[in-house]
Amino acid sequence: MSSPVLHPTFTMEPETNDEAVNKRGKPLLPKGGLAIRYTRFFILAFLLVFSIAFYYTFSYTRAILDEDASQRASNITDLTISRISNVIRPVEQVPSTLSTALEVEKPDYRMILDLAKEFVLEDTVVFGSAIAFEPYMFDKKIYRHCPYVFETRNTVIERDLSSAEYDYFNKDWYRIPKQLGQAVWSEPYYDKGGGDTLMCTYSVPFYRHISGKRVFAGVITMDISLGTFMHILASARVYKTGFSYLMSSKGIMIAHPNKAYINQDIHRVVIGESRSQTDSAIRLMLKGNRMFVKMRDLSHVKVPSWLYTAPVPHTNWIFAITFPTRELYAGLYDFFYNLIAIFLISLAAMIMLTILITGKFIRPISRLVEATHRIGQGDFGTALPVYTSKDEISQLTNAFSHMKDELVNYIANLQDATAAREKIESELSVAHDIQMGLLPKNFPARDDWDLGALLNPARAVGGDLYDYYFLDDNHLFIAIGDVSGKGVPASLFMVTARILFRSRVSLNVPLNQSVYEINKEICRENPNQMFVTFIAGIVDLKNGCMTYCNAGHNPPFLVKPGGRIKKLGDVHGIPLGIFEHATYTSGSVLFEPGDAILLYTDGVTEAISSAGSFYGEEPMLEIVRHNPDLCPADLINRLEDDVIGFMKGVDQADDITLLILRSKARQGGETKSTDMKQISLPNKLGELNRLVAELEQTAEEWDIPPKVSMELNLVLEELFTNVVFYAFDDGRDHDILVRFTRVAPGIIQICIEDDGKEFNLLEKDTSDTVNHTIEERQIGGLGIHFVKKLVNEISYERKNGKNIVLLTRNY
Amino acid sequence: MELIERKTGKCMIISIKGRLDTINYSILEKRLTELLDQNIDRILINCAQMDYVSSSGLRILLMALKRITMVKGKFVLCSLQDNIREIFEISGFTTIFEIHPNEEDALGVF
Repeated sequence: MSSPVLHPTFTMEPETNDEAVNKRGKPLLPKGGLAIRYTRFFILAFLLVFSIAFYYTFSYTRAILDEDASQRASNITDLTISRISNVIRPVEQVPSTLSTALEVEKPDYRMILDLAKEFVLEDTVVFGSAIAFEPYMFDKKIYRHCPYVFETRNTVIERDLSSAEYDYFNKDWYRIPKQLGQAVWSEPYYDKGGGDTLMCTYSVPFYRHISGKRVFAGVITMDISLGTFMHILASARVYKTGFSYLMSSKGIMIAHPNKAYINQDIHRVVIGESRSQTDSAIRLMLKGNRMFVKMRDLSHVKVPSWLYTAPVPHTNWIFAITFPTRELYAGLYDFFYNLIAIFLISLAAMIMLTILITGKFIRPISRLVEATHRIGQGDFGTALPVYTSKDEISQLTNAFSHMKDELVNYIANLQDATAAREKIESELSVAHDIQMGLLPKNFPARDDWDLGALLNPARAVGGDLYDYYFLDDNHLFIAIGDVSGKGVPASLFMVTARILFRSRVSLNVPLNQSVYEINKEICRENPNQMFVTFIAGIVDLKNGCMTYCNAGHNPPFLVKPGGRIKKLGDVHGIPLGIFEHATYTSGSVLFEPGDAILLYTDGVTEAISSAGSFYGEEPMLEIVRHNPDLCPADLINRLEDDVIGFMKGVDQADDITLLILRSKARQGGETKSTDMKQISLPNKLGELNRLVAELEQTAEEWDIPPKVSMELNLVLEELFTNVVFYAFDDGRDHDILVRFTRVAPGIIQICIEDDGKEFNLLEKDTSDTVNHTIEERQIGGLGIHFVKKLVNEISYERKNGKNIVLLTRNY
Repeated sequence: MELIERKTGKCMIISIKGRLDTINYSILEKRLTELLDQNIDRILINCAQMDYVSSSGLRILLMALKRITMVKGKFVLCSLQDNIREIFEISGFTTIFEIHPNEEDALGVF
């Protein structure tokens, strides 16, 4: 294989813009390229996985933190509540004890007051205590009596609160325990004219037994300064800004680090996510439930906060501790901020790495793509990039390289094959010409026999054959055959067979003996086991006897003049080339005047139409039967046209071969006179040949010069055709009589008789026929003009229903 | 009759061999019609081997001449045998057809 030649279909296209970019240096990562796609995919996947992990970890950690914070708040709450209880318990116990003392028959008020005074002085929380009597209960003459002791600068001062302005009967600390009949803590209040400070009062009612009935007698109270709880609350705090407060069961602030909120309602201190959530949370906490809720604290930090509440035992107070969630999660947030930062940095690093690595992986592919482009444009010289590793890209490159080599080979082979095919085709065309050249054509014109033959091969060269040649003046050899198969092998075999026949057939050897010899010869040199069906015949042209031998061929037909057809069905042996020692017989058939023999191959009868049907024998015989006047050559053309018409739209499958030999009719009685000849001809155009033959023979016998003979020929043809064409319109057969008479040496008289319509050609004016210009010239009339010009005398007579034309010509 | 065709340049040369008569004129007619239908408008009929011509044959030649003249082509005859030439003279066709003594002369006019 020489250097690859460009196949014609590979044309160099003008360079596209893409190509220009490639040449300048391909961008590292082409848009939509693998590297970008991989990177994008990695980033998305990484983000997704990280987000899930992040969210889970964050939620989990926060839940742990929440749990932890709740626990812590709970602990602090318990501790604080216990401290508050420690403070409050004595405050509740002492007045209860004193109230018992006040219920005896004759209580020692002074002693009781002194005890109270002592307690006020000693106790750090209690700063005042009052004994308030119902009207006239202290003394029947005294309406109001309410001694009050309170601590100021470590001394206890005693005073009476029973003034009309103060009107202690309407104070909550007096009225509520009286009504409820039990000890109560008051809401925080500022006791103007009493303690003159923000306080809470624990009031215990006491009773007197009058005439057996237990009658409310008054209230003994302990005032505690709310400032006291500030110290306790100050130590109960979580985180930096967390704090705690104390409120009453009605939600009023008892103690709050921000003094402005003391005595304020809880609703002004916290709000939840919604109004209803706020209400329900507050309701639950005021009922005394332990709560851990997230609410926004308005009093202090005004941010979302955890709120832990719990009731203080014995009292109706609620302790609350709160701290911003932000602080609880501060560490968590810090941790996750760091985590995100690390993540982003590693993501960036990973993108860079992915780009670099995929770029590195993809570069060989890009190079391969470039090389492929150039190869695709026909530049097979393009070197493929060398890639040393053993990965898939390397395999791809190798596979592509292999494909390129194969392609180069393939194109070269294709070119060779195409050239070879063209050569074969041209050779086949020559072979066709040679084969056709071998076939005899132009059967010599004879007055006794006529022959026509045709071979139309299905391919350039065919396996059919026909042949005819004169063995001597009186003997004609005819043959037709069909070699098995088609194309070149069949045609070569056919030529061999033909040569054998030409060399072996002889008048000295019986035909069947020749066929036997030929078969032997063929068998001996037949490596491909081909065979040929064959009919050979030797015709004695004098007596019309044909000896023939049919070696497995389609039976020929003998066609009688009247249209009767006889099938010559005898077979005299197997096809040639099959069996070396096959023997052959022969038969004979007698041609009567007008008889014709039709030889054909199965290419005719087995011609297939587009509908799939066979042509068969009948259409062929019909045409032969209905065209008795056509000479064999024309008849064969007619048959061929019909078969080809039948196969319209279908490729010819087999060779079409036909041969017709006809013995010319001579009936009509020849007058063997030396001076007079007569011929009777049917009114068929084809009979003209017989007429001409008769004239020529007569001319020869009577020494009529060729020129005159030709002119008479012209005259007779015109007159005869005139009669055939115009004299009869009844469709019946008529005879036309032509008589030649040598009236004297050098003078011939011709008489033409017909029983057709009356027609006097002499009355036809033909003077105008000659002198017209080409455009004006009418076709017709010329024949009669010839007749008049070419004879010396001419006469016309209508006698007994016959037209009689009499001509005389000198020579 | 046999028709032998040859092409020289733009000119189609048809040699008629044998008899041109009522029986076979249709062969020539068919062939000439084919050629004319293919717009071949330069035709030389070589009659050197034409032994015989009847009026039917002449009609075909006349038909061809008319058709070719209409398309401004050329239809020329040459090498007529003496006998044939006489027939042409009798028919008056010598004045209508361009007839040359030999093929060489005839080709000169194309």
